[in-house]
Amino acid sequence: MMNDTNRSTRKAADSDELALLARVSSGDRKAFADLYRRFHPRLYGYLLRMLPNIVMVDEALDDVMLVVWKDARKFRGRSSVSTWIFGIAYHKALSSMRAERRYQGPLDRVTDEASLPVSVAPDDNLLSTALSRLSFDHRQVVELTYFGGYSYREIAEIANCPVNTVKTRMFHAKRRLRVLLPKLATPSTEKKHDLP
Amino acid sequence: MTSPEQLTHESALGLLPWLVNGSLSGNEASATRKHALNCVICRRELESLELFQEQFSLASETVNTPAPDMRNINRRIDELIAQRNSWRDTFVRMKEFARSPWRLAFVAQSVALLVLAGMLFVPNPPEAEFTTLSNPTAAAPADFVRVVFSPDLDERALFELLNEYGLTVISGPTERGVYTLSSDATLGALDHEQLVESLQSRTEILFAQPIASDR
Repeated sequence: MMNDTNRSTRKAADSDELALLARVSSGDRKAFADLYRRFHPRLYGYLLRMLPNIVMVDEALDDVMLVVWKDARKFRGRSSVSTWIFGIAYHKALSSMRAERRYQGPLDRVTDEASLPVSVAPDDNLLSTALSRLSFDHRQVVELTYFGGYSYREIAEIANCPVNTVKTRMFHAKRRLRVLLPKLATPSTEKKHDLP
Repeated sequence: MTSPEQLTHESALGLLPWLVNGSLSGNEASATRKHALNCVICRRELESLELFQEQFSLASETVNTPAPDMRNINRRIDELIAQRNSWRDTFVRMKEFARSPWRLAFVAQSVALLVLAGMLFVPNPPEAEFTTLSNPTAAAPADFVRVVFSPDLDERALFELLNEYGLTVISGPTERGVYTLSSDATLGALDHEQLVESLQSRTEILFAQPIASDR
């Protein structure tokens, strides 16, 4: 869980990113390179789990960062820089999927084999395989929550949808993951939960 | 802001994934945690979600992220800047050119000439058809005559005179006192001429003339 130290670290990171973006908006290539390096691992991991092939991941990542370069001036600070950039990444991934005619729609539909994200290799873990079976929208809510650590409000901003839609998507995603991952759905009774 | 008292079971259940990832606000987190303490379903769900979170953390560590390669993005940004600069150069050149009034006048004249030349090739619009709203008989005025009566003639005397000749007022008087009268349609051309001559001979009539006919 995110403790106070994590929160303050994230706040500091947000203000660093804001300062970098301000420099990018005035055409500073070095600041852009710093921002690129900072977001590359997070964006790469996100897109890798959302898109079906490496070529699409690389293209989408560069597309996202090009939009950041072009539209840095348009950033009004209504959200964190990270939420803004992931919002761009979400829409890029969605349009890439639509262009490939592989978008499965927002409902709890099973993806076909051709649209499995890149992260799913035959020797990959069970969790990634289960994730790949979720629809695009359900997968991205799980991805942004558990891999990205975003709040449901931030996810709503990223996906440009109401917060209740985020919660509903999470509900359906969990239900499906429980079917796909029965082991995780029934935690060991020996495990003691450390509730305060 | 959510108080522990306000949080229903459904709300708490819905917030559990974000309690696990630690992104809930202080109030929401404490209210959800408080509910989970007293709710068996939420407590089990919380344990299950924490297992998920552990697995996700492990999975994210196994992703091999390549080193950032900025060659492609740098090339695209260079192209973007070059394109922007070329537009800017064109604009600056146009601005420089427009500084001289003679050049500006020359351009304006050339544009005007081009527009005029272009108009030569514009096809003429088809001829419009017009229709009149007046009485269709007015288009055949063979039996019509224009008359100006003496101003001394009163209305009664005027109608008596009209009855005497079998004339009907079609229109008038105009501002100049001209009446357009229609004679009996059965009169022949000769009779019509005689009628006009007769009208011209009357002292109460200052002017009488048949309306030119194309028949």
